[in-house]
Amino acid sequence: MQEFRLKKRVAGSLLATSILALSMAVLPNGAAAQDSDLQGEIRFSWWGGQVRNDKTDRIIQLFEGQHPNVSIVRENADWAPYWERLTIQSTGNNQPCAITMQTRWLATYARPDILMPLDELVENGTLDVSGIPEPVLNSARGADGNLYMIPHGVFYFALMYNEQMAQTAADAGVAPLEYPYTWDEFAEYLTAILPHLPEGAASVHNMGREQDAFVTWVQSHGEDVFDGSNVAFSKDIAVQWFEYWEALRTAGVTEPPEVMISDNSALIEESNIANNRGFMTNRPPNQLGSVQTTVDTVSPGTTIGITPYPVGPDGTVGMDIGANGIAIGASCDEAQIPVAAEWINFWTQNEEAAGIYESDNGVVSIPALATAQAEDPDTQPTQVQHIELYQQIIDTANPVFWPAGGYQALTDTLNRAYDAVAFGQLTPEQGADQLIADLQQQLSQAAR
Amino acid sequence: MATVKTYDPELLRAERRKRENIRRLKGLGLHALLITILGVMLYPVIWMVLSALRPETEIFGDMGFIPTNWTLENFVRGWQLYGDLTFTQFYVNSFIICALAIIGNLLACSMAAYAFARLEFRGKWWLFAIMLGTMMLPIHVQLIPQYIFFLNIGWVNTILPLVVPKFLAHDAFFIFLMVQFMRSLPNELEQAAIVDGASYWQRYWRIILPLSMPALATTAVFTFINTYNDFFSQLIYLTDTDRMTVPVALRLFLDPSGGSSSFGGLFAMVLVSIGPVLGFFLASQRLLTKGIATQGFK
Repeated sequence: MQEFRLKKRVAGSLLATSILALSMAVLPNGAAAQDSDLQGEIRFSWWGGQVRNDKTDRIIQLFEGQHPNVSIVRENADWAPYWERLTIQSTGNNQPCAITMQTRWLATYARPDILMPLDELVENGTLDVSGIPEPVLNSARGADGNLYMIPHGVFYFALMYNEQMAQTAADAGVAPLEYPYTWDEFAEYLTAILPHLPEGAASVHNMGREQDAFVTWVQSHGEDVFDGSNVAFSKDIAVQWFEYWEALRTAGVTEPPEVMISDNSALIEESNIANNRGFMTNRPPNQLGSVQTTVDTVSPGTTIGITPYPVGPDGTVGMDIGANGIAIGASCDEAQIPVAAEWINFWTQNEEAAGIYESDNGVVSIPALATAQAEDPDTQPTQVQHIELYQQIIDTANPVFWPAGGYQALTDTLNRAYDAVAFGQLTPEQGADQLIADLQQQLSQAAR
Repeated sequence: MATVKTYDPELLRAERRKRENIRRLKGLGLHALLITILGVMLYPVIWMVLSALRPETEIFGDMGFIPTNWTLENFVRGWQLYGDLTFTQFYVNSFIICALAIIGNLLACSMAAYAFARLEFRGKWWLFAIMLGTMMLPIHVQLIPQYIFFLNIGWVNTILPLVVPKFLAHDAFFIFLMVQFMRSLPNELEQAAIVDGASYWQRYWRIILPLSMPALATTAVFTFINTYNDFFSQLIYLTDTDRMTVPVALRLFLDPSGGSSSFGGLFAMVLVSIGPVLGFFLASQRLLTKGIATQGFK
């Protein structure tokens, strides 16, 4: 009986705890508003790891310090969950007011019922886009021509290489690779450098399955990747791409296919280049600092350099650039729009904020701020390299307009097609047929 | 004339010793094999533990298994995720959700199970079949309608979507598990209570529930583990960083999009986050084993 009473007491306490916790859960978490010109609360979402989160939080604190009646609710997540959550939020029209967006994914969300068209806010001066280069700003437009985000960082893919391995090869008589170089010159250099690399190291990561390299190849050969929601490149260009990498692979210049896949992790710490298992790979240069940090522990004294992708036979540059920026959710309340706009202005234009962020998610889009960062003696040398290479390629780069679902579709279909070619299941011709057919099917499905 | 077979005691002893040696050798071999398999299985865990205790720069740089430098820095930096956010907050959030989920499942699932196992009512088998059928619905089918429903009633960014369904017997698996257990309880116990004038509630609360302790423990343990590890629901329903839970927060150490990842902090916090699951499992291991054994899930 005593045991029963005890159980009753435990059950009672548990019930009380539940009620208390449930009541706490439904309480609003708003901030107390004070008198100020600008006031209100907005939700801001972004993706990133611990370092970027910390920087973002410091910028938010700076903004809130300058606008005491404004509160920014932080919503952050890791890369993939970020997009999953945003998609679900968008279906319920519950997307945050300020949404970090990327040009490669923009087409999926660039609709007036998901994101607010920003042209009017730019025209009436609410949003300040001064200093953002026109091509970068235009890359933030949707298929309907509306501006859907304000870019704050420009990113690009380039090639990273081990400078000491390059020097060893140069000392042995291999002529250094001077930009601009064509794809053929690039292949000749990689083949020539192979005998001078440490045992087991490959000259280059096999980029046959890497869509960033493929896009550069297509554009440097004078073709487009997409035409609206259609595949625009020819079968020949895809066949040549597969043959190019198959020739390098069979000559032992790249790693074997199984290593190509297992080492294709997006995490820097697991990459070939950071672990001295390869001379060159394709990576976004904003990772240079992290790669260098990892290399410093594996092989002290080794330094990593960056260089642009090869150019086409006639010197055409095919490099794609993308931008990260902030969009305003269509569900954002009218009263919240001034706060969201001021937050975007602060993020893109404020020198102190740019200084905190240090081009963490792409080179800061305003050239004057980028130059100031590059010239700041406190800026990491790897970050200076990142900014300088950006300044070198920005005028000749050829931004791709990614259709809805296009980025993921090209990544998946190219992976599948080239993997099948590299493992001997398909010929380059069959691989190209499969790539174009699968890609077109996925694009058409996403466009529906 | 019958011959008497004689045994040499020395020979017998030698034979016994031989058999004993073979048995010991077999046992030794078997243990060696099991220890090797255990080592292989535990290697990633041991590697993670040791990585959490070495400086971050040495995690991928130092090829040695045992760290050359030992540090607790990863725990300190990992606990302080960024800004004012610490894992203290995430643990509090996780534990509140887990506690409520357990209470909800224990109460609601046991009541539903009692009805299915011990009561007779019209349409019982149809309802039971429909209930089992809900287990076959993939989460992706329910995700968007559920989200919109909870959004419309203002529950998004609160813990309500994660706990209220538990109080409505939402987990068909646990109902099924308890139905199986309750069916095995002798009818005579309940019949005796009926003779004494016990109501349905009294029979459920005083007879069936105390006897179903192993099944309740199994439900509690699995509810805790499932809820504590649940990533996706907590990601989409708890958007504000202050309301994040442990599994969502753990993902914030890595940045596969190209930024810096913090593996030291990740390993340290993963190690800490294993603690509650392990502790809960060990504390209820006896009941759990009994529960599984008596429900035919052998």
